[in-house]
Amino acid sequence: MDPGAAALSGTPVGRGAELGGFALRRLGSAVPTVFMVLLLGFVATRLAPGDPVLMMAGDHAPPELLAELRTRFGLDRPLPEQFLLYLLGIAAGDLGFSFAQQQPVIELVAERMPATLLLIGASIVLALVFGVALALLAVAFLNRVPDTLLSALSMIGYSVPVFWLAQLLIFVFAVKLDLFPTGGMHNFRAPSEGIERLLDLLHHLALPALNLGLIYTALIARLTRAEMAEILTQDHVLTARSKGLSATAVLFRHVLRNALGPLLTMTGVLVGTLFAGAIFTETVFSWPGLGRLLYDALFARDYPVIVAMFLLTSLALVATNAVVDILYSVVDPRIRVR
Amino acid sequence: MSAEAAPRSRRAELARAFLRNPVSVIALAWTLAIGLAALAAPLLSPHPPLLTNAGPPFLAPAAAHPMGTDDLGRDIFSGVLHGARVSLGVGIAAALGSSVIGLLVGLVAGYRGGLLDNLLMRVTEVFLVIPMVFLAILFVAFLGSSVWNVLLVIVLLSWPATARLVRGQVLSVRERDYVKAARLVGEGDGFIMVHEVLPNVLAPIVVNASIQMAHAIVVEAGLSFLGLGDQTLTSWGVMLYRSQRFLLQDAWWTFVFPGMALFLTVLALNVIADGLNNVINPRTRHR
Repeated sequence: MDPGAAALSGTPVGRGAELGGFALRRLGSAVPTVFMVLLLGFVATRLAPGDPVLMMAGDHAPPELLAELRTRFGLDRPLPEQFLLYLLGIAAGDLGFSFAQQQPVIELVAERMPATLLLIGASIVLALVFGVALALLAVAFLNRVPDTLLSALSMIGYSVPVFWLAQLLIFVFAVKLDLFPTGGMHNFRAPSEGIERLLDLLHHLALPALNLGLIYTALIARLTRAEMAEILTQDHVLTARSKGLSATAVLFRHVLRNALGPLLTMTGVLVGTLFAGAIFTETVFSWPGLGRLLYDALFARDYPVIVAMFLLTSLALVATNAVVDILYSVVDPRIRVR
Repeated sequence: MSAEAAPRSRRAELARAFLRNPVSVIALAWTLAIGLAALAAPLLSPHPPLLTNAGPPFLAPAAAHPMGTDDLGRDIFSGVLHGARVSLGVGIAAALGSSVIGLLVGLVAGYRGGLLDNLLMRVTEVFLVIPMVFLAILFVAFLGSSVWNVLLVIVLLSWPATARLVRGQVLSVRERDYVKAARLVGEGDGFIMVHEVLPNVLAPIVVNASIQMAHAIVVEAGLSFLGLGDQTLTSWGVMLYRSQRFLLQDAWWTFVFPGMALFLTVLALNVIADGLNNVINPRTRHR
């Protein structure tokens, strides 16, 4: 059965198979990107200054030991074979060893991952709630003063360099007004338990999440407003209006609902930008996540960590985008035909 | 009316429409002012930007040092002026480089299709998913942080977006009647590309160049802020990187002024791009 017929028949089996087909095709289209990312990672690992074997064995190791180590790690094989070994290693969770921190990179990443996910999650929630609310407000007053004002504000919001905004936030709210801590994730001087520990965490999270969230609020507000303004010109909105539906009802039932799909795609694309922004936010706020790990690695020229961070974030973004597209096709099956 | 006069008068009309918007005019004036400051930085600066002990350390803004001094007594006003050279230099060079390469590849890929087109689409897909900052960090961390490497990596990572944009425009122009007519008359591909397709893709390229310039300036400053900038130069990003250690002290002038210059310049370029876009596609403004 061809996909078109399956969609028309509407049987659960047909629909499921069709969705599965789309999901497979979408995942397949990510393969070249994933391959390029892995190839870049491999090239970078081989280009890294410092001979890894010398680092392991020390500068005064006998040549026989060096040769043996080279054989053991496959460094004497032809490059394509080394690449294959490299891929197998990554598949097994081997991201290299951080000589600066004397720890496998995968362990470092696992330690830091939760803090970054918390920061990014909080920022996304903030950006979605405020961004959509502002976009609704702008569209309700389309081309009037509040709309113009919000356009200007969002332009300012996404032009502010995230690291400078972070410095301003710390200076005003932490140093001058002393309302929030200047950095970190927990207060180590007054360790707390249970609910107090949670409140302490939120207290530390507030400024970094505001920092990262504000910029994405501006982006979401701008893109959502454009999307909604477009929807407002569509026939079903005109019909709803001429039926006598109130402006608010039109806004929520027709405009907001139809903007949700594009909003999902937008959020997926923005996750990449959020990850990039998190490097800066975490650096300024000493937030102990992956971004700060990367910053410290750059400072120490800890190359295995730098390459691993590039690999992981890139692969995570490829996966996020694929998942978002597949989710979108569940919400709006029309795009599967394209 | 001759064929030459039409686009020129249209361009003048667009320029007038652009200048009718006061916000665009302010943004343009700021960008020009920063450009002048960059050109005249050695004349305008009271001190060499890297000169330590130009004044006492951490001096608040005063007549002798209008933007104060940093931890080593370097004059911040002089630093901000010289920073304009790095930021605008990188921004202009990156926008030019990526526009020229993107235009060439996009024209050929869009007009000819085939292998080049396929390859281009695969490459741009990678860049669409992975933010430029990650690749730039990887590149500069391995190859060293001279301003030339920073510029090179920005151009390397931003031309595919331009090429993709041009390609899309070319695809839509290619099937129009005047291009078909030119082909029918027997004009060669090269002639058609330069005389029929190119004029029609220039406007979006200019908007795109303005956005890419803003982006390049932010990426350069961002890399510098992570300690990957050219430490032999005084740039806004390097100044912010240095001020990071003294954030908890009261020396607000060490980061407020360089950051303000960076922010206003990026904002001005984004406003210019927006204004140009509104003039070129009036439809989008009132939607």
